[in-house]
Amino acid sequence: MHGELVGYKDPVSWSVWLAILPVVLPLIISAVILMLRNRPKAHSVLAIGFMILTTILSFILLVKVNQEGPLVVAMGSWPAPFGIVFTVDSFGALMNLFAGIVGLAIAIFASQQTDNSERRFGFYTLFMLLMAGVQGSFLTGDLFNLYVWFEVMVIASFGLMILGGRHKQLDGGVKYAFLNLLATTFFLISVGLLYGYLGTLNMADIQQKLAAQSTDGPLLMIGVLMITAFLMKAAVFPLSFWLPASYHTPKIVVSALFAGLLTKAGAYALIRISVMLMPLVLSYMQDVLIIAGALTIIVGGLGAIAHTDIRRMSNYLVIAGIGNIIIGLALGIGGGLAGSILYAVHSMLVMTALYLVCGLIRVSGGSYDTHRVTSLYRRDPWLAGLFLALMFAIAGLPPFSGLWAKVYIVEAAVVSDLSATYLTVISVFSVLLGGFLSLLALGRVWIHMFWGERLPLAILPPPTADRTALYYQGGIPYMTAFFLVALSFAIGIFPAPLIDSAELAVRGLINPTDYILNTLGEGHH
Amino acid sequence: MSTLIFRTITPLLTALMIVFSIFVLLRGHNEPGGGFIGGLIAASAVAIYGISNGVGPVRRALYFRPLSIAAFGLVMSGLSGLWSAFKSVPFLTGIWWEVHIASYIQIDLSTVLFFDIGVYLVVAGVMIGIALCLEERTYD
Amino acid sequence: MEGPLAVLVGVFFIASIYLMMSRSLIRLLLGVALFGNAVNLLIFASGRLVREVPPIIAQGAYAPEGITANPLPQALILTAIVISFSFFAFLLVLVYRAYQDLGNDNNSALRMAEPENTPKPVVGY
Repeated sequence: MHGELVGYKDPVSWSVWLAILPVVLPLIISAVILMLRNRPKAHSVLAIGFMILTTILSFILLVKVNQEGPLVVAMGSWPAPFGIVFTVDSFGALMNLFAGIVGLAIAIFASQQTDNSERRFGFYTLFMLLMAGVQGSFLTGDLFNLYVWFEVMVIASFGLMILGGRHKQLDGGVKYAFLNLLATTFFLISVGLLYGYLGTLNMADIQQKLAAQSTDGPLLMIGVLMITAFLMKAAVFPLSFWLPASYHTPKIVVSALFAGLLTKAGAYALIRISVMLMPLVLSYMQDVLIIAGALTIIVGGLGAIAHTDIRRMSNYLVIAGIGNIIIGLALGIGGGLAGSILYAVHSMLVMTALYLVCGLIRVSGGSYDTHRVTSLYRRDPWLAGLFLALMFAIAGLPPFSGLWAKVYIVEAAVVSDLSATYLTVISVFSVLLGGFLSLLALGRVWIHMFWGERLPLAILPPPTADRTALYYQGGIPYMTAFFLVALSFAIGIFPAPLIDSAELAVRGLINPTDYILNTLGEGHH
Repeated sequence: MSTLIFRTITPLLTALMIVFSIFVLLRGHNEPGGGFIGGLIAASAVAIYGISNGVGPVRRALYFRPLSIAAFGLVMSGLSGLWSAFKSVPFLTGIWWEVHIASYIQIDLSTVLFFDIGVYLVVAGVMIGIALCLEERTYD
Repeated sequence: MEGPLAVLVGVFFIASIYLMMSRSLIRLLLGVALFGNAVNLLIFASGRLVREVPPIIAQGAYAPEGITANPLPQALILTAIVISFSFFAFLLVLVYRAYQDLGNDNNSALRMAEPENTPKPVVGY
């Protein structure tokens, strides 16, 4: 009995497994958890253990990719552009690492918040499946494969969205499911058309073939369709209505997971496609993107002010954050894109933390409604401190990570040569106004829920005890939220490593020579 | 649905279909067939048995929950892809063994085969799960 | 041959978008199903159509001789069909549950997640 290799002769280095394992491990573990249905205690242990492993692997992957350039794995040894490849560059590895960190935080928080019946229903299975989908879409180098990972992510999120099956969740689930399905189908349409146009689906090959095209008519049509699909996934203003209709309905830990990862996966794909593959379409859409981004920020900020339920307020804050990413992307080549990537990372951390803190407020104060909770700082000074820090982080004030992202975006808006002055004004004004509106919305929550001595509006009945509250034990949920805020703080104080990594990612996106060379090999270039 | 003729013929039919599904699974290596279609045939075999004899006997006969079978298939597929790590080749690369049982019988085993068996189990498990769920709903 | 198929894809898209404009959840569902099929046809057409030449490589050769049908779109469509089938099954169950709760399938009656008369935020303090 002996093993024989067919076809592939050159042995590959161990490092390719760094690109595979962050996707395959969550996938296998999700299946293992499904098999262990009757041992719900083991679910969280497995999920946390393997998320730690995945995060460590993702960190090594990022370091390695930053040092040595894009890493390529040809699945089944079928070489690109014929087979499916994973091509990991700095951008993908960076997003992958932070997705791992957010996933780890969620796994730990959920270990205290999910009961046995929810676990039997498949919470951790769906969670690990969603992580596999998210990390797969960050690491893949094939457009159709990106679509498949998006679908893995979306179908897992459908399951999580209706986990528990309350009426509100059904309502949110219907809107979420239909509109997300529509967005991914738009993406699939544009993938089909692009395949018909170029005859390839490998991203490196697409980049090369598009650069060699002389006409741009079909490309503009396909590119605008594809970018629209991702604008919908990322919840940019005129296409954002599914988000505030649904994100507050599931369990708070699920909302935190969605807010941290799903819209950011859309933003990742948007940046990857528009900057690396279709810079022409991006410059064509620059005005539209800046205006859409500005409207997103303003609508998000105003929406946050209009709500008294802190979960629904958080929904709008997620949207406002996406607006900054879009403006940074539209400003493009200068510092804008680096700012956009920094903001995406920042937004992953603080938006997850925001929903987790909402959950903690629910337990400490008994309600999500600002009308029904007051003087929380006496009962829970730690939570008050955490919320105050988070308020600064979300508004983009120092000393938190959002500051650097906004500095980059505003600077890029001022120095870049936009086609019209009003675009510069709109960019700068909306980014700054967005910070102000977020501060206003969160500041009011602070005043009403933490600071006040009396209920501002005593028309509502006092809060009732929550079943899920029983599952908070000790300080672990606090530590999880604190960890995310502390990470944002650490990035704010020592931004250099992240900024270096983001700028490396931008260079890789704008000039993907290494990406193409490593994917397609010497002969193609 | 459960007439005498149907109940008599079903065990035979089910056994035949399961054997046929395994045949299709193994045949898929070089000819049309494979784990996906094999799994579908196996699931329809089990579904027929469920229609004639009720869902309870099917669940007892399967012993494992259908979704656990599917999960096991997924684990099997994933691990057969990871096996190539020991040979320093990329993920999912096929690795072959020749097993000599006697001097004249030789069986070719490969990770590709185990991957396909995994797909068979995933498809069969999921489809059996759905079919049994639908057959249980006798009301409304 | 691609021309008539392109027209058919267009007709599918028109019909599905018309259905999706409806308030009735069932029509919305049918629209989504039709939409998925339109996309499958679109991918099929964009792979170019060739009649009855299976893409089989002769023994000993490394590439097929002459023009053969393109097998890739079929693989893509198979994936897309499986995915859209699972989505459709999920949406069907979801809509059925929503129908059980609501008593009708009018989606403007779906206001549980966003109730209409919530109290306004406090202006002063």
